[in-house]
Amino acid sequence: MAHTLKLSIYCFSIRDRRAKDHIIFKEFLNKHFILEGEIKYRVNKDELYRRFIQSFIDTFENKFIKNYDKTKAFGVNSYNNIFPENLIDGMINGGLTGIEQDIYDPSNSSLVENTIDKEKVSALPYYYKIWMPFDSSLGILMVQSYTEMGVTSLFLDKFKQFFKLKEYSFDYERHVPKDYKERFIKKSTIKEIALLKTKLSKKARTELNSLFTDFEGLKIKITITGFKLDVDSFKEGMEKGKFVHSDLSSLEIGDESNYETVATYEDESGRESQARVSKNLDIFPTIVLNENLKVTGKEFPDYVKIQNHTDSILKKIKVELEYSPEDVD
Amino acid sequence: MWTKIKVWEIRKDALLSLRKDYNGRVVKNKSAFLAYYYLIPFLISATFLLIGVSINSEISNYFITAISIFAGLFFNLLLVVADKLNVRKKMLENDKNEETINYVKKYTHFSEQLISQISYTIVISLSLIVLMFLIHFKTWLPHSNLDTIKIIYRLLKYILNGIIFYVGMQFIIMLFIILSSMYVMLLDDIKLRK
Repeated sequence: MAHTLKLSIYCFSIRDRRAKDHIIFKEFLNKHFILEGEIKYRVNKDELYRRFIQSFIDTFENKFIKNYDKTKAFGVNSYNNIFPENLIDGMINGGLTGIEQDIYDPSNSSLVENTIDKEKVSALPYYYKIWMPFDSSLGILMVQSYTEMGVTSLFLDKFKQFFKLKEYSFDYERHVPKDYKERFIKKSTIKEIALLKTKLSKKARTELNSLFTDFEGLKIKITITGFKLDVDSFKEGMEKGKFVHSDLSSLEIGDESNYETVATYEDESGRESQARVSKNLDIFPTIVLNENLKVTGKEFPDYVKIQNHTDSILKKIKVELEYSPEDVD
Repeated sequence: MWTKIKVWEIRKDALLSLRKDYNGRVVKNKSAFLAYYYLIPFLISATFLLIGVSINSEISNYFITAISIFAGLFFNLLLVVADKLNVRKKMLENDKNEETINYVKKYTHFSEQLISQISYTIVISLSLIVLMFLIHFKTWLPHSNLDTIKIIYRLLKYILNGIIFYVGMQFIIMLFIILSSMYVMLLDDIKLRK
């Protein structure tokens, strides 16, 4: 079985840490990327974007940036731009680090051919795309990953940190295009439901078992498996935002706001993905990319193919977000 | 049907435009449109009829003059809107930025909506002028002392008055809509020149 390419999409916006409202990117770029002697709003938009992305890339200092646990690292050193469309994209490299890895020939499990040092990074290429409309406060970030490996959270953290240094808060949330969601719902089944409870009172912990009384971080996960339901039947089974109707009040699972329901979906190809079941039953399935987006004979994404594919996704998102007007005849 | 007359098409486009936003999308919730465009004129015309308001020949002459002036102005306005759209479209000749393309698209939707609304208001104006003429039907029809004929005449006048109030209210609402759009258009013009 080949590696599967996935795509994570996030809507993001930034705001001054002291302010409530999100700022239009034009204002942000004009505030932080004009040089001494230049007049605000007079600097070419392309130049502002160039300075912005270059300043982001410069923060890497041509090195790999590690996560907090020092188990993963990634680096960006190039970008491509389509500034008239407010787009920046490119490939990043990232992967495992902080652990020594041996390299074997699959036909001989006793002979170590080579070793990857603990300090080195065994990297894979990943595609990223940033759309930051000049006249809006809502942008889109896309990061590709593989089923077994990804640097999405690292990229998000780095991006967040970049804005933090400029005293901006970076707010983001996952986004899945509407048509993808609808297609997924139509063709998927739910095969597992998990109820997650993270904060229990002392009384509830004691009732569960007095041994748990002092464990403030106690978590409860109730998993229901052994069934297959289509999404419509699942929705019918929901009552006031609750799927499990049994009395679980002793575990403080009752009010829909004090615990989480996570559903595991399986699509027509047998691929699984998990989604938090929100109050309005919104789901966020994993976006799986087509095999034909890979470089021929390789497992990596082909830059041009994935760029075109994500462009078409972005076009739909812009309409969904009501940024793009309907086409004119 | 003779395709040279497109009154129904104008009506259809104008009513649809009242439910569209400037992105060119039809807003799903119809209730505001139905309330403003149909319910309010109906309630006002019903109230006028109930309290016995009637249009006499003097008032109808004033109305005909006022509406004719408006109709003339609207023909002029159609050209102004089309002209302003062309100015915006020329911006795309040397600016391919996403926001400019979106702006021109939005302006095109706005102009299309405004043009259909103005055209439909001209149609309403003409209908109102015809209705105002028709209200004098008694002077054209033969005089009769028959009670049945008198009742029919009274009923006809009552119905015509109702229709005039109803269509007249819709005309006023369309005037407000056009005025609001003109306001947006002129402010945008000022912004563009800055």
